[in-house]
Amino acid sequence: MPPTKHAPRFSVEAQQQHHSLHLVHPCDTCAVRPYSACAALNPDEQKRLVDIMKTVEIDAHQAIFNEFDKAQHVFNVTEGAVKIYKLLSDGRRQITGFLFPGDFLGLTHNETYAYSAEALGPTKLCRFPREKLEGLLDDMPSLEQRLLGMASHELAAAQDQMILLGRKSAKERVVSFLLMLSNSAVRHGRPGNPVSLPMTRNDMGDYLGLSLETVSRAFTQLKTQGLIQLLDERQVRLIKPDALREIATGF
Amino acid sequence: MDERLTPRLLDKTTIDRAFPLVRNLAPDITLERWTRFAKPHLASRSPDWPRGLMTIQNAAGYILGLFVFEVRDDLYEKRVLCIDNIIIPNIPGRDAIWAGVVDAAEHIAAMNGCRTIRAGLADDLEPGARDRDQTWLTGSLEKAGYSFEGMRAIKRLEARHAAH
Repeated sequence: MPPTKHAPRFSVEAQQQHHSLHLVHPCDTCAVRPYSACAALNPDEQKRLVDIMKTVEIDAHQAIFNEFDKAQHVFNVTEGAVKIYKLLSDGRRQITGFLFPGDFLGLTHNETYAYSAEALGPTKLCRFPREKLEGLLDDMPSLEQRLLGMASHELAAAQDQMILLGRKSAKERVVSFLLMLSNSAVRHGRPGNPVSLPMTRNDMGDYLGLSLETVSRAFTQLKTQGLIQLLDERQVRLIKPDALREIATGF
Repeated sequence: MDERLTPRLLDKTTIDRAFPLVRNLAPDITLERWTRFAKPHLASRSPDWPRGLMTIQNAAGYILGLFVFEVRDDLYEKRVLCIDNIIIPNIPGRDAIWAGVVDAAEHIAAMNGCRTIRAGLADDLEPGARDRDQTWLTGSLEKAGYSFEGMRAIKRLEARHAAH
């Protein structure tokens, strides 16, 4: 639409009229958008999604939601990392997955969330009111299809965990976990090596069904064998990826 | 991104992978219970009377839906495909997963000379989810050309057993 003489100069409406191609909103600068379900949207669909979305920032170790909270929102991680866990009847905690930028959170729910979600470090998320999102999805089959096709939500994360728990030895589990994180990073447009580990060794053990000591021993063993290099607490370089893949598959 | 959904038979190596989906709809079911239920369904009674657990997977291999099937001999209708324990999560896109279930069931029926499919609704779900999901499931069945015929009577004996 050509600019009109009487259009207000600084309103969003005016900016859209004068500079429709240059109006910046969170999606335009979102680094994970090409790797997320949102990539399937055309500009009009994207605008409709932005209209119902809020960007939220969560501090490290803060809850995003708790198990049994009313499931009012769906989230898309854009920065940071999240752990999801269930509280067992004996009071213990079972981590069932880790989610990273590009992953959706809160999709698998009924009236209440079936698990708790906590930020591992400073984390940014897009937050969508669930009912409004479900209403929009009816009009956006491309987004719905892409959400289903993605390997990036809590159901997928929980299925990954089942594969890891099926591995026999602690070493196989730890190696499979590192390779899984590496593959996931590549899938989301991040470097797959070195592997970023935003979770503690304790969280890792909880997720893999191993004690903290066993996880630490497995890391030491892999390092001694020259298969990995521990750059710091949060980063591991995969020195011999092929050998690691063989270990992961039980050879 | 490949967004196709594909039917694949569950086997002993993928029983565990299906568990999060089952737990999602029925939180009280343990992995042991699920495994004990699933294992016998993997083996056909004979090549002529197949049965199994069919999953609906996305291109990345994640299991998004599943159902139990069995070809049975019916006195009147001869070969009938029976499907039950249909598990479809309450997530956006579940209509597409349902379409995958319908297609897979019709394919199995055609392969096995069945002219009728009998679908049983999810009796094993926890009560709240059962009521809500059955409303959606019955609507989806009707849309897929299923009609509701006959009736099934159920008597729950837990209380009586507990008393003895």
